[in-house]
Amino acid sequence: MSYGFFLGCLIPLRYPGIESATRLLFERLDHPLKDLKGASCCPAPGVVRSFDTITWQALGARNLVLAEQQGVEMMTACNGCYLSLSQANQQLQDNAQREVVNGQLKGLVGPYGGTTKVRHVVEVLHREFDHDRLRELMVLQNNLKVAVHDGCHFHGPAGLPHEHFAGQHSPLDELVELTGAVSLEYADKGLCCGAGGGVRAREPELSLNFTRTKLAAMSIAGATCIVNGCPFCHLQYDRGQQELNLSAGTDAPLPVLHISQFLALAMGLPRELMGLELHDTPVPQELLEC
Amino acid sequence: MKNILVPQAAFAQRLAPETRRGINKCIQCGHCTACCPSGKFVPMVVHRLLRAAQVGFPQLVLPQAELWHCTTCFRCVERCPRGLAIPELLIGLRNLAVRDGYLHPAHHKVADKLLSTGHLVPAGPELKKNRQALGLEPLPPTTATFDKALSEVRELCDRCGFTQLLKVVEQDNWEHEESEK
Repeated sequence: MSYGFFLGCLIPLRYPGIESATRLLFERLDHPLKDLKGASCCPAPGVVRSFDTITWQALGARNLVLAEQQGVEMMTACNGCYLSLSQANQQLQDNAQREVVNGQLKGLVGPYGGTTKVRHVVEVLHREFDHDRLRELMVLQNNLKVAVHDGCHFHGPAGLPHEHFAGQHSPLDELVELTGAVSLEYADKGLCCGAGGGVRAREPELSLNFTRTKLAAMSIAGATCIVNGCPFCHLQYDRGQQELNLSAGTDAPLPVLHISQFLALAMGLPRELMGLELHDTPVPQELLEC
Repeated sequence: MKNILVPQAAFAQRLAPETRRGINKCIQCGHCTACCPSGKFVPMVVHRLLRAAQVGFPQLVLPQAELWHCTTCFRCVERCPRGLAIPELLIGLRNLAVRDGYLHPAHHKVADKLLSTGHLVPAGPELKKNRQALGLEPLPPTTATFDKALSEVRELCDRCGFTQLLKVVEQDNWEHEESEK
């Protein structure tokens, strides 16, 4: 199966290292990613959908068409894109709804036939690739203690419960542990990072309250770094630590890695192509060093 | 008497059918409020918002900052004994709030970015250089590169009434700070 890489906004424009890490990772797995040329914002489930659901659905449909026309599955590395595109796609399985939206798309793109499959990089890696083969590709077995953050919008579309049950690992936990690392249990592991729903833009203090709570629990559990599957959670932890340090003074910084970066590093792919120096919270050279 | 709120039965007519159906199913048990993480940090009484919408008190819903305190974490969805997708009901109410001019300037900026670039995140001054250093094209193969794609996005925003909506809200300005506090 070929995957069309749906980039979204934060990955290509704020954390391009996540884009290059994801591309390199899939090249290593012999599944180079296709571009979805002309894609736009998904659009974001918390902001754009809150402003106007009709516009949100139409723009989502336009993106879904791009994958359908190329005959590829649509893969995102962002929970927000995953939720938006999955939900829009689900609604567009209804013939009447699809007809309305195709009317809006007329003369621009489409029509949308409803056949696109929306995937998330975590769920693709976990379901479509043999775990023993993945483990063999990890040239850098490590014993890092990782605070995994799934992010709220992974679970719904992936058909999993939104919250962790004690002792139950998520696909992201399992991918992290393929590298030899330990995914820590920590207090309120299923808690939101605080960024979603338009809260980060409108109520930054409220959103950082979530982040502070999470960071404290991760530190208490003895985490060395944070691994996430979403660039918005990534931003919230990465920049959020700087924002919190300015006002409060928290513990030692926790480097933040997207799962694509984490796995690409563990596979020994070129560190200088991971964009780690573009992070606000420094990623120490010795972390997953070749 | 003039300070007593009178329920507006017509408010229900303004709600999208699926939002109205969901809100009507709420039995006010308060599980959503009890487990809401935002509610630990700020006043966020989810079931009160739903009740006000149920009865028809738009002024207790649409201008309220509380409506925008939901991070859409979906924790309440797992708890709701009625199986309601509560964040989606709040999103339905937010749609109405925006139509009534309650669009926070920070959110207006985000929406403007979508119209002008097709993305929500600006391309920073160092972006091209940074991307090239990572072996990527200077700009991503999205609306950031293809003008035709961007004009499609803008045309869709026009057709859906989004462009017009943002203009109207702009004229409204943000005079709602006081009513929120």
